[in-house]
Amino acid sequence: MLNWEFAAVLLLILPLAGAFLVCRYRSRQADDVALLVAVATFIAFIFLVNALLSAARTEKLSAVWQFIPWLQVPGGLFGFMVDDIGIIMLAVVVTIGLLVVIFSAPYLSEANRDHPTTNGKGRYYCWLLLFVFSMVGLALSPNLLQMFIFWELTTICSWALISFYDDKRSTVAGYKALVLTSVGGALFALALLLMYVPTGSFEFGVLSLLTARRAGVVFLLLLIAAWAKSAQVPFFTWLPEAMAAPTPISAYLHAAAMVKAGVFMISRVVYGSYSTLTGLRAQYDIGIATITLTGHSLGLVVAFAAVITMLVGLYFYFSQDDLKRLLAYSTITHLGYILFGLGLAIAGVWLGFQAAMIHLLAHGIAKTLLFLGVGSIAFATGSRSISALRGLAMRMPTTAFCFSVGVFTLIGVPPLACFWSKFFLLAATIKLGGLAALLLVLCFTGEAALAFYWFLRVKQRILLEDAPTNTQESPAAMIGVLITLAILCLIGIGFILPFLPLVP
Amino acid sequence: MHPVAPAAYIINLLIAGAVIAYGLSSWRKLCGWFSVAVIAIALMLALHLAVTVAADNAPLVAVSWQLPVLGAALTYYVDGLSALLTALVLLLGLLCAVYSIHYLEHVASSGLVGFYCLLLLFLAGMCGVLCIQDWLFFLVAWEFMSLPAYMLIVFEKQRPEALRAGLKYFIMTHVGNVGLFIGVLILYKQTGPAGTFAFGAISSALGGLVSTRPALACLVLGLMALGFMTKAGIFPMGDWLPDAHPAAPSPVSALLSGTMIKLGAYGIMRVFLWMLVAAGAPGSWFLGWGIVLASFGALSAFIGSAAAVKENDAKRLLAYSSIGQIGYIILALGICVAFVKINPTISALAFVAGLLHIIADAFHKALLFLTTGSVLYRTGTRDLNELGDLIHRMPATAVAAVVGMLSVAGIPLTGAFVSKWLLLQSALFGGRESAVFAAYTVVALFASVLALAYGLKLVAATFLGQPSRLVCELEPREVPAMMLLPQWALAALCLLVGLFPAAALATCGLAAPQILAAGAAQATAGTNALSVTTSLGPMVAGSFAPLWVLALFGLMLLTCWGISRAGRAPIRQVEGWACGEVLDPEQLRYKASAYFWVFTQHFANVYPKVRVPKLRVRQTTPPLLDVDRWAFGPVGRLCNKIAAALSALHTGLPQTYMLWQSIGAGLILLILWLVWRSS
Repeated sequence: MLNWEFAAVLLLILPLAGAFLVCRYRSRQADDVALLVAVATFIAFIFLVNALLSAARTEKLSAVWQFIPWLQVPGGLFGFMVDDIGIIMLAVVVTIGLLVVIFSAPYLSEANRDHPTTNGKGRYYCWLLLFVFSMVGLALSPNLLQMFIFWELTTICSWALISFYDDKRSTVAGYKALVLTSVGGALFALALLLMYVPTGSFEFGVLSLLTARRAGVVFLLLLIAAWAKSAQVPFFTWLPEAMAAPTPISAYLHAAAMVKAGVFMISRVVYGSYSTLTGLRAQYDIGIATITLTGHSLGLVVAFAAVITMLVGLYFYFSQDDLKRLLAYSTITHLGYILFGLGLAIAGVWLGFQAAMIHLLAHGIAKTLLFLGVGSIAFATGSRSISALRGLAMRMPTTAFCFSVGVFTLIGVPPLACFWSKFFLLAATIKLGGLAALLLVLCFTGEAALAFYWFLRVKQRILLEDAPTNTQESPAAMIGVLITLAILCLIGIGFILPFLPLVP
Repeated sequence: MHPVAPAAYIINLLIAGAVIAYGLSSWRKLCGWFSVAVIAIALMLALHLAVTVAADNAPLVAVSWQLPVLGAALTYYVDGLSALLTALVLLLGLLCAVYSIHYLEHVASSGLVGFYCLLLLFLAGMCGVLCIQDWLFFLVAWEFMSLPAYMLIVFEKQRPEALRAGLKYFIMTHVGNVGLFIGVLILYKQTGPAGTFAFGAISSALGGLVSTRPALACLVLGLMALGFMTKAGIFPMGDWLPDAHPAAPSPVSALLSGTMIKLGAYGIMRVFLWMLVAAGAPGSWFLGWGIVLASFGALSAFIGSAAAVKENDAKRLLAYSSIGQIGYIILALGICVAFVKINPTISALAFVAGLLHIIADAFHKALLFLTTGSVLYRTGTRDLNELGDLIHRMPATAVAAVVGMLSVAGIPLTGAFVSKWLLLQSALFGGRESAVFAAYTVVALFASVLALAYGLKLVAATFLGQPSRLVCELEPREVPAMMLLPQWALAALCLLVGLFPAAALATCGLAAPQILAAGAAQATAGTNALSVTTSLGPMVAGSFAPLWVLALFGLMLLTCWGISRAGRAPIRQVEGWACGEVLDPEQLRYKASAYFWVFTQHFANVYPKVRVPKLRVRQTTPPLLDVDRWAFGPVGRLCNKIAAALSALHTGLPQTYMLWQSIGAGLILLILWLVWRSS
């Protein structure tokens, strides 16, 4: 059996090496090399999960080394840390990365009626694998400094991949994404300095060692960085533009993985301060409210900002005609859900944290399914316009079925995956109590209900309403990926609930 | 505590059947018969379960799996009421599945993929609703029932009106569901810091609210009642029914009206007769909520029946009829709730009446939908104006339809007669306590007259009178035996319940809640196998022996026949006379729209129709949300300007750069000198 450090190193090295390897190849060979690398990465991930499962629950899987003599921090500077929430993020990154690589091979072809091209496959896979590398590094980070480095790497990969088609629109969109997320990155760096100066440490839980005021400022800076990365109000404008990227990229970077980095960082901070402060397995339902300095009010700030994002995102649903832009706004609101849960956790209801983690996983799968479904539709019809597409269920039954599963999962039909997370969120809000919670519940349920209605209507329109269309089902590899994701959505119950007891 | 949950077998069997049926959907007949077999086995299990529960006289409880984070556990709880209604649901499901095998040939759906799969899931959802007693999983099952129903309503999805109707159903039912969710979550919050969804704990949380915060408790009860009454189709939330029924295939309509809307009434029972009783609410609460429920019920019974009279679309007519009949049921439950604490005998009588009406209405409403479906299958129309004289072409269907219509109207010898009779008794005697119930007696009686009117209209316009042009052209034949069989079975059930009401009453009595069990026994004391005698306290309220009535009816019919035979009156067949003008026979025919014309013109809009609103949204971004324009854009331009200004420093002349360097070097030297001076 491999020991876990080796698996973690492999997980990090394989995509990096693959990225440099694959850029030498063209078309078919590039597909094969990328697939090989993705599969190998996935196997390394399986080993890591196995190691985590076989380790005792109290054991901490972390290995950190000092690399820079003049930057001594307690505990070490760079290394690996594997725990429950890191594994959730890795599961999204590695699994969906593999599926996206499989999907990309037939998608980037001359047969694609949306974007018939095979140019630059080597470049495409190179950036994609580099992105996998950066996300893995981010998920394995033992402290905020390493996370920051990989965070910036993902921004660069995102810029390169959005601009992949090299036309004016995508170049501008890539530049916009780069600028907006870099502003967030700068604030992240500032927060790092502010926390390093008094404590000399970059640990996740370092917030609790600061004075109340400084901790509040640092947290707000981190929060703004996360808002920019996760496309929250007011920084959301780059994400709809980023839909100029190839669809598998939109699915992976701008729904499942990269935009999750922001919420992942916040959840790390919440989790970290929680475990540092209590230092022990505290009672189940006391969050950090009673302990952290600014606790309650900051949590409500996070939650209300998230609700505003949800409502703004919802507003934009109704005026979208491009399916991908609709999904982008949906991504914005769903990242709002995750931050909402984290806000509740900070305000004192730990259930919110669990809800956020479940939603991170469930939304990653469901949204990838929807994006790839749109990719399959666009591949076959050449259109992504809601007003133009009709009656796809007759011509592309499997794609239509998978797309429906995705829609049902996303809007939270019980007992599919997102139902559980939304229900947890609602239960957590109600547990919070008070007038603020009442307001949050009303906004949240209102948003969920209207989104429910709208997505169902869109689905009904493009899939069911009858119209003869001259299309055929997409290639088998793409369909296979869609079916895999649909199965993951359908078995959501068994897939997600085991992760539940996320108590530090 | 039972080791395994028999109810779980039923639900899992149906779900597994659904998966296999999906796989079999290419072979339509095989898939149909397979589903029939699955439902038949489930029905056997349900009957066995019902017999076990009745024999033990105690509910079966089993916990299947738990979700400790939320304090929820999948608890199967089967008492008399659950077992009875589960068996009813599966019985109707079986008959509708048999009917569907031939009926689906006429449904013009592009693919029949999934009909039986959805049907089985729908039945599984309904069984789940009936057998699960944990609010979280109850709500999951509730949704599990609502969604396949939606898919079945929009089954003929190439018809735009089906999609619109489905959307309306979906929105209205989910508005109700949200109310239900919020009500449950408010109670969940009251169950303590850990929180649990168990029925018992939620009931005691409600009890706590009743004594400490009555306004909130009223809100919770109101939200839950709203949720269940929306599903039940009570006026004014039942507006989805008249649109959904014409859209759905007929066997689905039969199941929707026959069983699904009844589960709304089941929910009302569980909330007001189980939860509120366990919560220990005072008598005034029961009286108040009973009057509220009874008022909605009476209003619904009247308006639904009145709206049905003016309808010319057979399925819309039946949909309004469902609204009227569910109104009776809710009226009965309202009386039952009102008198739970004051007079258990009246309360028990009303409960039995309501439950029996659930059963009777399930039978005759399903029967009428199936006969309408048969007519639709052969003629392709639901418009009563285009039909006529089908009795000579489809006699077997016609006989079944007549039985159904008599039962809807509550004619003696049918099941609905007994239930309405008991309902009127309980309302009348309840009127002594509170005059409002006496008024509802009159409303209910009048609604019965309306029910007779629309029943007559439906049957007469379809099966009697002159044949229409459409009928003459098509010359429809009788439907296949497999479609006739369910209709006749339902007709027989309608009559069986009516002829032997004592057995049905005893069964309903077993399903009564604990608090009413004694009252139920007393209310129908003196009943024997052949006749029903009701008593309220010491006095006998009424007595009814159907077999005697049957004998008298027979005698009367025989006499009539004898007189007509003895008189030998000749029957003249002549053409209709239009004052000498030559008119199209179609214009001379007495059509459905002419029935009760004087009445219907006054009641044309008795049931207000709601349209699904079309969402119109501006396509432009509002200025406030266009962050790019007012924030990022100006900032970006400002940065560009600064950069341009700075780049002006780059003149390209070596002399300038030398000058900069010299100034810089001078500054550094100055700083060094200052540092050296200070140290």
